[in-house]
Amino acid sequence: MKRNLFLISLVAVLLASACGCSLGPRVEFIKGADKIDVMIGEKHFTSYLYGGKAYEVVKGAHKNDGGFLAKPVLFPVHTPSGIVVNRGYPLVEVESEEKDHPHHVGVFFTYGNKGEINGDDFWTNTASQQQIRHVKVTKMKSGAGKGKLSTVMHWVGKSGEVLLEENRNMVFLAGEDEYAVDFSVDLAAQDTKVVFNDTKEGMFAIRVADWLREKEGSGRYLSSNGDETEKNVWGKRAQWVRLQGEKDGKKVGIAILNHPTSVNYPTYWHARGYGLFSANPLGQGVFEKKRNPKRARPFNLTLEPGEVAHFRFLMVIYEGDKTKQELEKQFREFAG
Amino acid sequence: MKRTIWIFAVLIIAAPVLAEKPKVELVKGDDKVDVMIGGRLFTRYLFGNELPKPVLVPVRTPSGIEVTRRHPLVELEGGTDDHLHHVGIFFTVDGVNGTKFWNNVKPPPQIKHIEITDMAGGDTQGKLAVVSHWVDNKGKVVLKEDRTMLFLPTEHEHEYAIDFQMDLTAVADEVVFEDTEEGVFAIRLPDCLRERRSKGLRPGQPLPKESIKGTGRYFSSNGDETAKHVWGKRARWVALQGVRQDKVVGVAILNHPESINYPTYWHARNYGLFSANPLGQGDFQRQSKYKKNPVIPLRLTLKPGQKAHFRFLVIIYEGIRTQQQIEERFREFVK
Repeated sequence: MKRNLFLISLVAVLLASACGCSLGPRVEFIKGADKIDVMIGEKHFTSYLYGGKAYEVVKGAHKNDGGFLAKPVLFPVHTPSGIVVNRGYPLVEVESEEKDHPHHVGVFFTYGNKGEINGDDFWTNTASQQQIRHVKVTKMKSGAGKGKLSTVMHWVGKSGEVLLEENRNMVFLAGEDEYAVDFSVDLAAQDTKVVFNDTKEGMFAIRVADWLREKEGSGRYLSSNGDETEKNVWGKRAQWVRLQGEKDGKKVGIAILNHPTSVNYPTYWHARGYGLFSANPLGQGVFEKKRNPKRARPFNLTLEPGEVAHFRFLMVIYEGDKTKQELEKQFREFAG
Repeated sequence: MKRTIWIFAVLIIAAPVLAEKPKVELVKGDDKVDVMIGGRLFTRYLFGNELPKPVLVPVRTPSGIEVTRRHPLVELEGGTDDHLHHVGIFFTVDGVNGTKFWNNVKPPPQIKHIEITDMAGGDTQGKLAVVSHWVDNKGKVVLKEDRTMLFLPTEHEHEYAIDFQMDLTAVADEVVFEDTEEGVFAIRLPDCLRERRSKGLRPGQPLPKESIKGTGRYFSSNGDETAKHVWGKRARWVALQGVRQDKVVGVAILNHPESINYPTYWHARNYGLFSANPLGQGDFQRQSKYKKNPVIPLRLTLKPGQKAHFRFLVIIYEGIRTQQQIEERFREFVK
């Protein structure tokens, strides 16, 4: 019997080393109505919400102006020990929380504030006339240490025209003191040429909990340039930015890493002290104008019909202190 | 006896103050300006009319070790005789309204020296300001270049630095820069500092022996190492260090955030060309192993009177440097 156990553990060790990874806790998906829960070792990491009426699927959510989701989001987002790092508003009531910008919901990927995409915009609106509409799930694969969720979305303009098709892969990664999402997106222009005019209002973002932000919170930004705080991080290019604060005596943070395959890499950062933490590779002209008006050059990403732009970010939700050196190392592993 | 020692001490401390000559001196000769630091040649700005562009050559470390390939080229056994347009430190680019200013050893076309507008030595820095005209094959002035070079003996030990600031202004016609790897701000290293695949200088390992085949090794602000990984990417700075005359010597080029299309792409080659190229964007993207995105050329375009600004700090140093040390120098530079 003992010998059997030994053999079994030997086989397990061999299997683990054969795939070159420590397997880690299991990542599972639970499909519900208009949502998919992402569970890691049976704990709730996050949920992919893709229905219009989010307030119907989020426990404790209330119906208000932000209750309609004009784009799919990840909400809520937990650390491995269960701390929620995102703001609750507009979906969940959290006491004394700020209620600005109702379009900042959990983790989201969108762009445009004043008609920057062929006259349409998708970042600010919370109504239904323009929206990023979930079309289908193409892959949902559980596994040890990681799980993959692939989806297709349509960026639908006011006229009802599908401007862009979004193919998104989200790989959820389970570590010991951290969870991560390897988030990669292909945006393909459909029948019409699509121009993205430069605006700061984009693109891959999380709206963090009040305690984690810089303004009146414990958070502090740090970038791969070695810059600290919103004042020095905002509007510059950087390979990664981290926001780290404290909750119940424990260090907690979020890092966003930009992959070198990503369009206009390294991205600019729309990282705000009030709690919006966003990577925006397309806002070039606007950021440069604020930093140095003389050298401002708009990017105006243009996709001919069928052309694709690729975006890729790793979002790491962690506990404990993450130093610049550690992030540097993690970035190098991610960038390959 | 004690008193004598005390007097000696005073003399030694006071000596630099009493010295009549400033630390950095600029001495004008025929078609050249010698930049002397502490009475020794640091570098020489050459602008004779036979040259296709002004260059700085040689460039020396504080103890006098040259970090540029010899000029005029006298080939050593096993040494290189390629790319004769790579001379010392130079600033030029191909594809300016179709004119190849980079790949050219004889005028025309020419980046023609016009005048020195400021030349001053000093205890903490020397300054040389010059105007050049970029003249195409037909004799037409396409661009005006206003350049300021600050020669900095610096408060840092074992290094000299030059702060280069260039403004290119379109003169009469609109100027379009085609995206090409052949540019822009470069140094051609001596053969012994080029990068071989193996046997290069690696921190923490025994120093390699000087070799004409090269002991140099690149590293960048991205944490990338060797030309293979540094080439064609954006980075805030890139450095290369190797062994010459039993010492570790190095060159770091830092790009200033006010510089056009910052952070610059790098045309850093293992054979000894070490170049920062903010204008080659489309060419670098086209050659990138990452094929996911459409190639987006920069095609820098200047309307008559419009300017583009370029700024680089070149540090010439002795002794091995770490990534963190260069990072700290970068942060001082951009402060």
